[in-house]
Amino acid sequence: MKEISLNNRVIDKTEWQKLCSRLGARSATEVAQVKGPTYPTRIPDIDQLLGGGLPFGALSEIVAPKASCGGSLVLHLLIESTYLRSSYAALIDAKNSFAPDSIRDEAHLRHLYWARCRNTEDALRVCDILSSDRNFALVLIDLRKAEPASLNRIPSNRWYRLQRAMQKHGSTCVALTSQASIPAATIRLELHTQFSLDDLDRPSDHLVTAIKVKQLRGAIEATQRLA
Amino acid sequence: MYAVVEIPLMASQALFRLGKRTLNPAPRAILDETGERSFVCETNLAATREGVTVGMRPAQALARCENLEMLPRSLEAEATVRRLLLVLAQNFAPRVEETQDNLVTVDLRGLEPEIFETTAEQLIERFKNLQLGVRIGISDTPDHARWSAHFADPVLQVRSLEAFLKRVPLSITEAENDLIDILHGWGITNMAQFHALPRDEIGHRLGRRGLNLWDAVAGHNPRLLEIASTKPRFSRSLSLEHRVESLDALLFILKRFIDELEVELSTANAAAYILELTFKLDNNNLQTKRIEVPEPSSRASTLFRILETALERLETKDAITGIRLSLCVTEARRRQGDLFAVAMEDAASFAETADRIATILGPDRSGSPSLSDSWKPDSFRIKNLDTDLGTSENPTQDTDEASEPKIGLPLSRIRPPEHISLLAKDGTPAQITGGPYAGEIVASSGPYNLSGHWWELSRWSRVEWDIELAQGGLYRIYRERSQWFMEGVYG
Repeated sequence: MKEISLNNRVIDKTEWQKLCSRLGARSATEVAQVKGPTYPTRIPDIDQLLGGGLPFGALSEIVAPKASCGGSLVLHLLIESTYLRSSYAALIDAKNSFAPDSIRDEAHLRHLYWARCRNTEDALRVCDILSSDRNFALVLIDLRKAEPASLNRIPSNRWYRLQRAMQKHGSTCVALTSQASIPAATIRLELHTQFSLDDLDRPSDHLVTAIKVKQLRGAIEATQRLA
Repeated sequence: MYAVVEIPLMASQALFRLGKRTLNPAPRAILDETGERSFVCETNLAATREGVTVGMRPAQALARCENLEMLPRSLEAEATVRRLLLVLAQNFAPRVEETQDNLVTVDLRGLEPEIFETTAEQLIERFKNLQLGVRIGISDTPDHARWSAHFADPVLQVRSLEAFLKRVPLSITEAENDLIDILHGWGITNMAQFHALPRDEIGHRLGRRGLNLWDAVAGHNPRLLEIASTKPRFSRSLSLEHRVESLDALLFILKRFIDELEVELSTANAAAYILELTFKLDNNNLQTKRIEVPEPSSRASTLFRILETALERLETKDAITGIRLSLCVTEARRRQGDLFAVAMEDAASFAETADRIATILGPDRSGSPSLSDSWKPDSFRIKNLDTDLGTSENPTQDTDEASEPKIGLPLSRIRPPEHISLLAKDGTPAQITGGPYAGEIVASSGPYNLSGHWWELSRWSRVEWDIELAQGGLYRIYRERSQWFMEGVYG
């Protein structure tokens, strides 16, 4: 055996042996049977890439580097997926940009707690408070419109503290940013879609399948999550 | 079976709870200064070893031990501790007698014997949370339970009476001193030796007093308990010796109040929905603050965090010299979990979370959004998030698919909309000049005329366009009163 492909990633023999040892598995079949809990996003490309969805109890970062690359669509789909799981979601909106009237079904809003912040500092303070509340299965932080300078000023230990809090409560935390900014992110995905004006007339279900992502971080972690 | 819950060195423990002194092993005596002449009413082990005994005058005590620490007793603090002892013991079992100031007897009949020690340990933990140390003795008569409490560390259940009586000296009984002296003269030092004597012979020589003691030791004819009845008290107050000028000092006192009130709430199966704080100020004025608890709660941690959050915004005109905390209560809500219901795991904790966030963001900036009945763009209301949506809100994939499919991409709004400079060609937007969105418009869709509320003063009218910029990005722009605005970005 020279190479094995796992979660679209090729791993070598040494990595494979480490993985088997961690999982207590002896063969590829046994590894495949071990599966940790995931939070399905209902976005085919993300769920396929991460083997089912975003990890529970972890901080994930989704980078939307350009305008109209699908960041808002991902945000709305994550809110919708929480509704379908009969759970509550919290949205920390750093620049107060969420549009409730764009949601696909008004019922999805009844499960949503929306914190309309004025700046990044407010958003982080709210995030600290929400991270200690175990009522939310999903905590979304929308930092796409936050000034890069204000994001760079955030000390990394603040993110690590948030990650630990999420781990403790088993909630899923997703931060949407315009550039990679969260050092504590377990998974980092980058959106690669570019929508055009014609897409505004297409059913949003079709647009969901058009979302393409690239995994920037978390390939190894994604396999470790299996443990 | 009976249990006796005893607070050893109660006067000292009541003072320590107030934070006036720290616990240390140095010789210490508590002085009773309520009468004409003060005297020692309680000593610790170190002071007893130095020869200081209860009833001594301060001068006598100091003569025996020159480094003796003497503290005045606080009757107010002791009354609070007595109350806590009684109310918490009622959580153990409902029939409780206030046997002495620092000691209650609980009738355990009806409880499963296997859970006695576990329940006792839970009770000790609750006392520990209130900064009180207790010891609990469990036996088949009230007297045996009281004696076993004396040796408990912190729980002692008497299983073999014979072995236990060998440990119990005569001095801890309530027998008069002259009777004990007679028995000591006979060479009897513990209860087992006394119990071995024939009952009739004791009656002949010591009379009724001797027979009563023998019966108590043998466990015959256990006395009936005088059951105490308590009414819940949902308020606490304190007059302060020193003026309070900082929030930390105030919170320290309030934390103690809340911990005590939690005991009252749990005993009465009640939950607080309003906290009313009254401050007596240095200028003798009263200032009252009423705090609503969004989700009635009986948990001390939740109530304290709500108080803490509310007090961050409190300003008083003068220093505080007295505090009173009263609770408005309702019946505690117990909810059966439902597999198909959509409800928060811990609604009380969320209420406190929401309150803290509202403090940071201000009113109407956090909650659950709901759409308004209007075509005006960006019309919505913020309401409190419903923590219990019931079973009717349980979604299924089918209903979702059955709903009307949504078209297009969601909008990410710019609030308030930004004014932009725009060049139009043949009535169609062609280029944004200047600003962060400057660039050529490569595709556009519109115009979409919107208007509403024409019958009111707040009537509105606008022309919307969806545009695609050359550098990428789909935007919604609109023209209102001859000016162009950027409303948001799609995607």
